[in-house]
Amino acid sequence: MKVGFRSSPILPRASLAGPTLGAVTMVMSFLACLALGAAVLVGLSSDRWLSRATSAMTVQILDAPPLTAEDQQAAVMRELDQFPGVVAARILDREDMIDLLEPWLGVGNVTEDLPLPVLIEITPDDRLKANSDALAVSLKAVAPGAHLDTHGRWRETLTQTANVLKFLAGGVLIMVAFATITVLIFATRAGLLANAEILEVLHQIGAYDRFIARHFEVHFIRLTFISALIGGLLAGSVFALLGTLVPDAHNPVFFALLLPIPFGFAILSWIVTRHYVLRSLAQQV
Amino acid sequence: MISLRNIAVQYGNSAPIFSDITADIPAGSFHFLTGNSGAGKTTLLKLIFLALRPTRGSLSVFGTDVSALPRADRPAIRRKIGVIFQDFRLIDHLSVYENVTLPLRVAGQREPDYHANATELLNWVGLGDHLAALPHTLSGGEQQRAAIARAVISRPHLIVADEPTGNVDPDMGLRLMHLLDELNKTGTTVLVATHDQHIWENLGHPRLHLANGRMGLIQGANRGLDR
Repeated sequence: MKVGFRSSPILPRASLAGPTLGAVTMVMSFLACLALGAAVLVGLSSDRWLSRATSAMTVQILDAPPLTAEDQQAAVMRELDQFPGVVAARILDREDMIDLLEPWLGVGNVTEDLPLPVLIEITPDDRLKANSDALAVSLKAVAPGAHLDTHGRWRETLTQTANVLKFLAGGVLIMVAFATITVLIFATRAGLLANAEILEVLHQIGAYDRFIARHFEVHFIRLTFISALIGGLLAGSVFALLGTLVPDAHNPVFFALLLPIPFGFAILSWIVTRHYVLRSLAQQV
Repeated sequence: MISLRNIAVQYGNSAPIFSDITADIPAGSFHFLTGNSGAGKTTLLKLIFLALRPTRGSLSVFGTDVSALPRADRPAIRRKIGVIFQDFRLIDHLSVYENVTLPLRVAGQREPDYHANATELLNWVGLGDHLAALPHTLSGGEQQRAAIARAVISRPHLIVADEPTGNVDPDMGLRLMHLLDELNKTGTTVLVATHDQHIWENLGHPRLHLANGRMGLIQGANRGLDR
């Protein structure tokens, strides 16, 4: 009789957490992926912005009566030519300046009589990035109206903002993990109670606690992994839709970073379920 | 086989169920356990099949002192004991075959390795045509036979039965007792708690009688009260 060969689950699936735990896990995975994804995107963007910001420095020359900006320009260029670490120095022409100002003042609003400072764009090497203060002092000595802008303040603000966003994402991940652990504990406890009679029989016929725990683990790992995978796919879809707004969200590497989330839920489920079942059973005779 | 020394059992602050039980059950013997309702028959069986720990005293099963045996070491002893419950305790969603072979599955054996023996055993207890049936579709007698098959499938050294005839008609009860008698003849120690005088008189095995928190041995086949 073939039907005798099948091995039904010893713990009936209907008696263990099902749709409720699955739904909660799916939502938690969705949130975790959003939080992790946001942190990764912020990290990628800020790294790129910082990389661009540190690849250039700017010297701004203002009038320093009785010297005009133009009077000081030649001295500044001479100093830059001989200063170690200056790879290139280029004076921005009026068209470049207008391009920079148009986003703020609007097209056609930069008039001929608008006084513009002299701006020199420097391409530094690593030595100069580490020694920018010395250049600032040297420039001040030859041109009192020269001011070296390393974009340090802007860089610092950007770094702080990125770090805050990463910290918040980490906080969300911790909260998600905490909520998931709580739900798993409640579900495991309910499963133990619902199957108390079966567990009694299993103990009586010589089942070790590990054997019983494994049946809970298998059920919960499968359920949480599938649910978390669905949540992760939903979050991935959201990022894919954001693709045009956030170009990094189309990067395969970014999606690869989201992949561990369902596995993380499965591992969390395994640890929590196993620990809780073994601890509960250990309190029996 | 089983040695009880000055066993006492008490739940919380209530009156003790036993105050001082001392007895020996030799290997290969068949004993009935008798006593009025509430005398502590089930409690004593629970002690022996390791579902309960004594409050005081020493209990040895298969030569191992199980009174304070660590939890992790108890399953190995339990695997040598087949338990038949009055209410059968078959698992509702498992077929007869799966219920009966559960001890082997728990012990880590593979289905192809035990299929032939399990089928033979189920045929022997008259359930060969009910392998796929769920317990609730069986009669009381069939459920009882499935419970007995589950208790004996792993060839236990000891079979403990708690009122095994309580839920079946007298004829079926007597047939079940003869089944246990056959198992006893193969060397399995049998301990059966029952309040059915007809059963113990018919088989004539000695009985351990519980009364007033104490236990005495009464020999069977009209051999009289020994103690």
